[in-house]
Amino acid sequence: MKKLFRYLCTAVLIGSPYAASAVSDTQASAAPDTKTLLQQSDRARGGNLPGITWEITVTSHNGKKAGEDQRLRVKATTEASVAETLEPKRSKGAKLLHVGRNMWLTKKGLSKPVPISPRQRMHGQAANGDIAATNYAGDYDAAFAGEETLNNEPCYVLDLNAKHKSATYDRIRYWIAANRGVGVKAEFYSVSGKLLKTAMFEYNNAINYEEQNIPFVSKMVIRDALTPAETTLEFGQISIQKISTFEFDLGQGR
Amino acid sequence: MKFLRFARMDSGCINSSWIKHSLMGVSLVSATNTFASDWNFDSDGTLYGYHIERDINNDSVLNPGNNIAHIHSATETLDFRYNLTAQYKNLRMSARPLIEKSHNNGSVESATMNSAYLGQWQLQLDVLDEWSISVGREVLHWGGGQYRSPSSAFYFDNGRSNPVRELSGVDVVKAVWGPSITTKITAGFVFDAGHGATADDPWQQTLMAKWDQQGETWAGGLLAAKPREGSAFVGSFGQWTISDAWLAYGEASSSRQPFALNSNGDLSVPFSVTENTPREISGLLGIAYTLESGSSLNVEWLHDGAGYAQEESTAYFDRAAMSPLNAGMALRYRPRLLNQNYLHMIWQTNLMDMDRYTRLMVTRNWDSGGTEIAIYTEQSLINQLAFFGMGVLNIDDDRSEFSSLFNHIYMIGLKVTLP
Repeated sequence: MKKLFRYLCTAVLIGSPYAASAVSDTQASAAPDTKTLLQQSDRARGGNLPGITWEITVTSHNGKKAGEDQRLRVKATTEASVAETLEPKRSKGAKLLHVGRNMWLTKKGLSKPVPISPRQRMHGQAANGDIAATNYAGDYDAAFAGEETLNNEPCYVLDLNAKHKSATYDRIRYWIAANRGVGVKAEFYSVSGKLLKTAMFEYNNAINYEEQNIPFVSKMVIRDALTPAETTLEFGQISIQKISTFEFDLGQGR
Repeated sequence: MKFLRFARMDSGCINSSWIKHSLMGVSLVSATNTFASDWNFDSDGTLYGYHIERDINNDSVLNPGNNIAHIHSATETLDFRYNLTAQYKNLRMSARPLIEKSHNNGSVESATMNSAYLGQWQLQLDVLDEWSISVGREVLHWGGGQYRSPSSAFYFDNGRSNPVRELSGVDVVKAVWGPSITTKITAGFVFDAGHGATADDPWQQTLMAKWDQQGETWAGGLLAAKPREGSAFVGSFGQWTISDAWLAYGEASSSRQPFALNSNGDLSVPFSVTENTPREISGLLGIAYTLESGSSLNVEWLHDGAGYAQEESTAYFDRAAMSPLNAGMALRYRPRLLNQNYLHMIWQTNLMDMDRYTRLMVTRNWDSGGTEIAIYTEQSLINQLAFFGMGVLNIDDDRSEFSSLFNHIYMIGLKVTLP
């Protein structure tokens, strides 16, 4: 059955630039190249690009209690990101800078950028890493864990283990759509193996990069594993461009 | 915009060559619109209204009966802070105009003060990917220290003890080389000490150089600053993200103060002022722990070499008590912090919470005793209206630093974010 699944996926993907490199027809019976799969899926979430700017609308609710919407403009490279709050108006101008594991926050009322611990995070279920460009290929060791069909779509399942402490999550189980090469579901676990939250992804955006039309993340819905809390990130205003190193310096009057 | 208006008028004129003019107009409008669309403009503003009440220590040694400092016991302030930014490709302009009206009353004759100034502004151009040049009024501020910033030549008092306080920048021209996100080298010249600076400000004309470097879990920097008249300042700062929850940071500097009030233990020797003091070391070590909720606890130890040892500060108050002239001198030339060693602790709610924020600060003067407790809280009431309040309580005697002028201070206010 598994061999048949791989055969069908490969047959569907012959024309796909994503899957072609991940699953060649000569490897149809072997496990897919997890590194290539991750690199491709990262690109659809902002990774492996020279730089990306996007706007994110964050909505949260905890059961029946809805949180206030937040709108952010994020500038990111693989190694750094800066998220500027656009709404609500009273928080406008607040900036969260992330370089490696170092984080700083500046906002109205703070006379200078304040270094903060990674544990100080955004409201709702979104981690700071969820709003930045994804670099699972660089941050995690991946192991192929089989295939599953998710929403009628064949997917590869990967188990990811953090390579270093700066990774946002310790362990991730990641479903990558075999024919599209994009991550469609993720389960995030603690070191002890406890499920923390689950995320579902949609890809209704597209970017053009290196003469390829690449599907791009448009929505990420994060659900807490223990409570009814849910946070939705909607991605828009996407542009691929090199970002000046000075954008990642809160002391530069940015 | 004037150009745009002209172009539109021009395209509307009808004469013998109206087609040519119309085409020119259309192309001008098009070019102008393209030009205008390449600019990004942004602005936001906040109106603060607040009342401050001070319980003046009438038994003060430095200001007996409030006859020397003439401090008002109450102040009402209306304060408008605006931010304007414009960006065109690699060119960025920003300005922060401030308009303030305050009315001081109580204890001494009432007085109203009005001021309007640019607290910060900047014209910045990024060139050749790795270079940025700028001119403007900037708050040159760095390091993780909350209580004080010994690594900054310009802002030892970093304003973090009062979240409503607005720091005004120094006027500086800078060139920054940033070959990567993790490395920056800055050279600059401070050509004026900025709004509100006194004529004898020691940092009026200062050459400075700064190196910032980051690793995966650490960041640090070195600074050297040399005022035209005065001694060099050398500072350094660093931080280390130990884990998700723990953060350690430190700052240090070596400097000479422009003046010092000498106060040795022999009371028969009067106060004297020394210019350009011997070189002293100041430093701060801090550690922060963040809870799962995002609340955090910081503990800091500050050593300020420019302050008095315990014996010197005892003599300072004893000498000031001898005569009003001595008290006036003690007040005018007091060190930036009276003593050398301070323990500062902060508990604060999640800084990233948009609706509410509370910060509790406790400071202990380790040399002469005395404790200052301060609490600041801010709560969003409705969408763009927030309440804030602050209280400061000094627990020590009349001959200690914190109670030397005030017993307690409180502030309440509202702030409105403009739509």
